[in-house]
Amino acid sequence: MIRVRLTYAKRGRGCFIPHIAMPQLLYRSGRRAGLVFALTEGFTPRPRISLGPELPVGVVALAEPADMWVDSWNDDFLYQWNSCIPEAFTITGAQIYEGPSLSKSCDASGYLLSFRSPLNFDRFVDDVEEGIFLPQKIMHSSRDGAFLKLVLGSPFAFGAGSLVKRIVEADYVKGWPDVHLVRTAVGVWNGTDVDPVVPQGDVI
Amino acid sequence: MKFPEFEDALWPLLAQVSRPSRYAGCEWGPVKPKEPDPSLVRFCLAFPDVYEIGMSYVGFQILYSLLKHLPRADVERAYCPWIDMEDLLRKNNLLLGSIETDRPLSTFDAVGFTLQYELSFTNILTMLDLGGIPLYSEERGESDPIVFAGGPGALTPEPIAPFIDAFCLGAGEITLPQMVDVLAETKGLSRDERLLALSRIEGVYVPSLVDVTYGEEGVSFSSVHQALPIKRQVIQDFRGAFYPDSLIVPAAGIVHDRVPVEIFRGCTRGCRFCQAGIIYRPVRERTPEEIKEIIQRLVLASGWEEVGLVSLASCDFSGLNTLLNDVAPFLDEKGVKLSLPSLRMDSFSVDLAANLEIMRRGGLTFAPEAGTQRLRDVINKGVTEENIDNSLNAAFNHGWNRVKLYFMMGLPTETEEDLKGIIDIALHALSIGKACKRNVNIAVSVAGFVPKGHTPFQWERQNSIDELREKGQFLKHQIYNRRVSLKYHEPEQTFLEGVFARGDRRLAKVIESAWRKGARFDGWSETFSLQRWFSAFEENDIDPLFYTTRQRSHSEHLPWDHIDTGVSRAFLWSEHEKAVKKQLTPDCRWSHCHGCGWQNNGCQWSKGGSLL
Repeated sequence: MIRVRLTYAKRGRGCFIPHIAMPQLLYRSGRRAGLVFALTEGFTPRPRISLGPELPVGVVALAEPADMWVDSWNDDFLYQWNSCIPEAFTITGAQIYEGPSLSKSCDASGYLLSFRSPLNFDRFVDDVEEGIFLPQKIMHSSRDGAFLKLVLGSPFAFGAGSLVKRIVEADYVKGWPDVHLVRTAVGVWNGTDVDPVVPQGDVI
Repeated sequence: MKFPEFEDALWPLLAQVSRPSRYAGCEWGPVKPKEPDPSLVRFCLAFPDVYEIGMSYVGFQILYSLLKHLPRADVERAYCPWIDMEDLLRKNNLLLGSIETDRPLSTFDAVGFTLQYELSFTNILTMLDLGGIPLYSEERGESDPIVFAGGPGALTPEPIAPFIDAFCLGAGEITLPQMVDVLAETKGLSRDERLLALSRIEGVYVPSLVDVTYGEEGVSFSSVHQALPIKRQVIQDFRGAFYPDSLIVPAAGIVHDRVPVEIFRGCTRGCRFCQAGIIYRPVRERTPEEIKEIIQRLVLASGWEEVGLVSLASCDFSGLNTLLNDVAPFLDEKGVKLSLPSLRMDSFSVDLAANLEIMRRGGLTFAPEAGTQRLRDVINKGVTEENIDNSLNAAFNHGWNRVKLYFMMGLPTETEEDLKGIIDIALHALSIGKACKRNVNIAVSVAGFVPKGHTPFQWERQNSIDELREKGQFLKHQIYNRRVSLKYHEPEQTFLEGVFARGDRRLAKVIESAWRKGARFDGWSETFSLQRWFSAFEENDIDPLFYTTRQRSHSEHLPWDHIDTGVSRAFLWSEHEKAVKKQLTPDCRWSHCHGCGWQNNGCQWSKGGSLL
């Protein structure tokens, strides 16, 4: 049984497919690609999979981490897997992995954030940069085109849902439909950015 | 980096509706539209309920694939948006489009609804209206799509006939390719000419070409354009009949989340309340070899981890043991589980289920339908007390501790004794379970009986709302054991289902009125309101009881008499008479031909059961 650590992207309307549906989606597409997955023990065996921190629906993702256990693995599987997965999703990187669990491997998550209406966005950016909004959670912030780039610590404890909740509570926006949010990666903070848990291929 | 998803007009709507995955698509399968070509006939298959229900319907998997294979056609699908999404689409002036491309329904050449249950009628209006298509056939212009409908409801189509341009009666595999040809060849002709051309296809009913009158004797149909009655089309030989080589696999959970493999069509058990048992005759089977090949192909192509053998009664498949043995090594190797969606009430079926891991996970469901042997004989259920005993014993001995029992109340000739019989069976089940020293639970579900057209009970009166509620309450009060639970279907929904099950064309106005008053998803208890419907009946001066609680005479002309399912009215009446006399009609597959109407029309079983 081999543990493969991978990252996947959810683009387009794929971001409205809930986090809890992802194991099955990855599993079924992998099976179509010919992968043989290891199953859990017990009365109702299921594919053994460990996902990264929850991602609420509506958040676009570029490099979400997951661990899956398979019978065998070679790099060709990545290409085959991507040829069998619905268009909105891409396995952006994968490698055989031995080491700590995802929750122990990841210490940061990166986001790109903007508001649907520019109203309040500049005020929000100023508040972030001046340390008025959520200073204890934000490890880094900078402008990136129309977006504000944010790096948050403790990705399993404080995720996209908590972030948007705080933004709404602080009255910058009314709710989820007003926020454009992209999670660029969950992984390791390198001092300037968040490195995804595995190297990213050129499959996007 | 650019994020075009945020430019998607639907994005802000999806960000605020419940269950946005319903509208997200992102499916695996042959869902990519063909290259633009003005000569293509573009179909939209429309399911008048939410995505997770519609995606579980095997018929669309078959017809979608069939249409994709036709060089002159392309196909997409649409589902009914839930009320929150409907509101948002309206507020944002957006049209309902297909799940594949958002192409508005109004821009297709043909939009085809499947009629699976009567309480979805108002959703058809929602989809037409949101899709930019006028509700009534007569209001549609030259650029509007042809709106057609199929499925079991197309065989009793009158309540929605004014909304539909053409009904496909019977197997879509037969009528749809012909419709494609006609629609391709008549592009550019007037709508009337195209409808006339469609009406010349066998099994296509164009209601605007058929006049209807109402009199003392019932409903009468006449037409100078269409020969009446119109015959339901069947695939005579199911062996080798079309089946998809790939399936659409949803990205998020649906109700029946598995590879559906239709192993045979039709059922001749002869339950007298059952419409499907009449309208899908004769029984036609695929061969076990063919089914094995289909299973292997679709498991590999879909990645699904479960296969469901679909039919009206899968345990009746003559090659079941052969099939299960033959396919087991492949399924084991791939880690794929098999399920049988309907279990017969005998120990053979229970033993079979016990060998299927997926069936062992939940409870077992049986349908004795009636509480006493007398009433089971009236309805020709063919289940004896011994069968009930044996199957319950087998279930508990195999280790199940949850058993669900389905019954009906309001069946013809029913007495209090029959209702008490339901409780007796439930308590008997409990005692059998306890004897096996198990921590057992018995869940009883009781549906109100709705007489359906094309069945031996089509002349019968339906119980009123009050009668059904009284019976439901009576049953509830008899339950005093916490290990037995009893639920009965909402009598108000049963009542409305009954109105439309045997309704005529005059009801279309009522459907429109109720829809305008806000009727949506009438099959869902959280959205259903009978008050809206009563007000719609009143507004249109129609007494709904005319359709439900009234006993019809044998000679009455019924609103589905212009449709020939292949089973004769004489057979239905003889079954009705036998019901009154509590006489059984055994399944013709294992006894002899009863002359239902198919005996000279290609029924393989009427010639002794061997394949043709």
